[in-house]
Amino acid sequence: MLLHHEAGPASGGSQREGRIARDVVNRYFDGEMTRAEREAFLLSLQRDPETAQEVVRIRAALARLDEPVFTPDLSERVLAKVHSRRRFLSLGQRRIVTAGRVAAACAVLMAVGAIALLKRENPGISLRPQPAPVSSVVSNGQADLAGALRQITETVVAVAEPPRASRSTDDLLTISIEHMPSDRPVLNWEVEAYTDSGVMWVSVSAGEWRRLRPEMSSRALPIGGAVPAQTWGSAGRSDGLVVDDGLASRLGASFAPRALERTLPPATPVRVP
Amino acid sequence: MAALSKSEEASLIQRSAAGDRESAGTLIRAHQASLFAYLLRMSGRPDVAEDIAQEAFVRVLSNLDRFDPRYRFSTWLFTIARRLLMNASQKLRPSCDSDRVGAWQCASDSPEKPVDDADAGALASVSLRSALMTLTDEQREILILFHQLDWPISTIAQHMDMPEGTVKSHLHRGRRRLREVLGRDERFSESEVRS
Repeated sequence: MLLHHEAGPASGGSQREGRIARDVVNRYFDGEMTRAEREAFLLSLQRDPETAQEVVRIRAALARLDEPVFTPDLSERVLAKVHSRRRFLSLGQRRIVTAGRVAAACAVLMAVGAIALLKRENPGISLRPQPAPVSSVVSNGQADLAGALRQITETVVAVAEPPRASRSTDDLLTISIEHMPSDRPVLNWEVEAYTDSGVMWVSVSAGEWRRLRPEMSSRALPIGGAVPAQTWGSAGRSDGLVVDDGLASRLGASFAPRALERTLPPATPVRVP
Repeated sequence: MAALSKSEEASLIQRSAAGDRESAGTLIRAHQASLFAYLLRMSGRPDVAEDIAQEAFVRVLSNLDRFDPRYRFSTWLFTIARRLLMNASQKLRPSCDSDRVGAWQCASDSPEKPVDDADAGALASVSLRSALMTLTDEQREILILFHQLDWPISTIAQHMDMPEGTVKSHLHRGRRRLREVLGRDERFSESEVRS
């Protein structure tokens, strides 16, 4: 029988002796009784006034929980806040937004992957933007430039004219040379250069051409002029070289160093093994 | 507002997720009373209950695409509200000089404390709120979910991440404690006699 009464200890000291077991009261309030059990329980309360009073008090207390609570209407405030955070969009618009986000994420991932791959394939490559090199060189004066150029060119050869029987503007190019002297930051120069049979000649100053040191050839990047692939550098490489036809045409017939007074765009070194 | 059927609610959720503002509003209005009452009973402070209910709705509606329709929407909503409440309680607790477990409000600055003792109903309401605050957080929450919101024990156990037996133990102790506290409260007894 579910509606058992508690039996007290032999001493009879229990306050609940003869009363309805607390478990039964709990089952009643937990809603675990069948209809018949509930009716039997309520009848049994007539024989246990203390428990009956407790049941009444608990029911009264629990009834308070059901009292209506004034609830402010939150809908407009919530919708306004949601709208400010994430606009309500139609399904089609949301798909477009989602696709855009996915595409952007893919682009970022691809860029990161490409950079990682580039760095692995070209350990010496620098992706940091270079400081405005020519302007800094210019500020040091043209004499400094000529002096620096002399450091990276062969001193054994100094000629007034490049050693070529016939000069054509088609063979001229403008190069950017990256050099890292110990006492100054990375410098880039834009100077006129000329290649002949795998040897690069650099115009150090008016009427003075010097041969570029072989190790410096790897740091020379042609940024303009017509560069026959087979004549570039000692290895005759043309991989990654950028030939700007527009700049080549602007070079004209003058051999004087030019373009020293303008800032070059950051140069990307080309690794020539 | 009348309770929504499961299919009605599913449809509202789907349309809200697709950007239908009207459906989102209906969804809010269908659940705001029960959520606010739960938070009010839990915190004892209408201002806190209102703020947290609002934030819970905002979070739910902003993440409707993550809703798993196998579960009840109200369970999800209440779970989020519960976490917000717990976070808020940690911030608010030190401001009240009380050693009662879960007692947020200071007895002296209750915003709804009636000044007219003739208002027996309001007095009883305050008395109930004070009594609820003497329960532990678990006892109070389980009592509210079970007796006020009619959640089954199994759902409460899932919501609170505890075994059903433990839920029942908290429920029984909480009920007994509530009866004891209210029984001691003379004001409550008087209003009971009158009612």
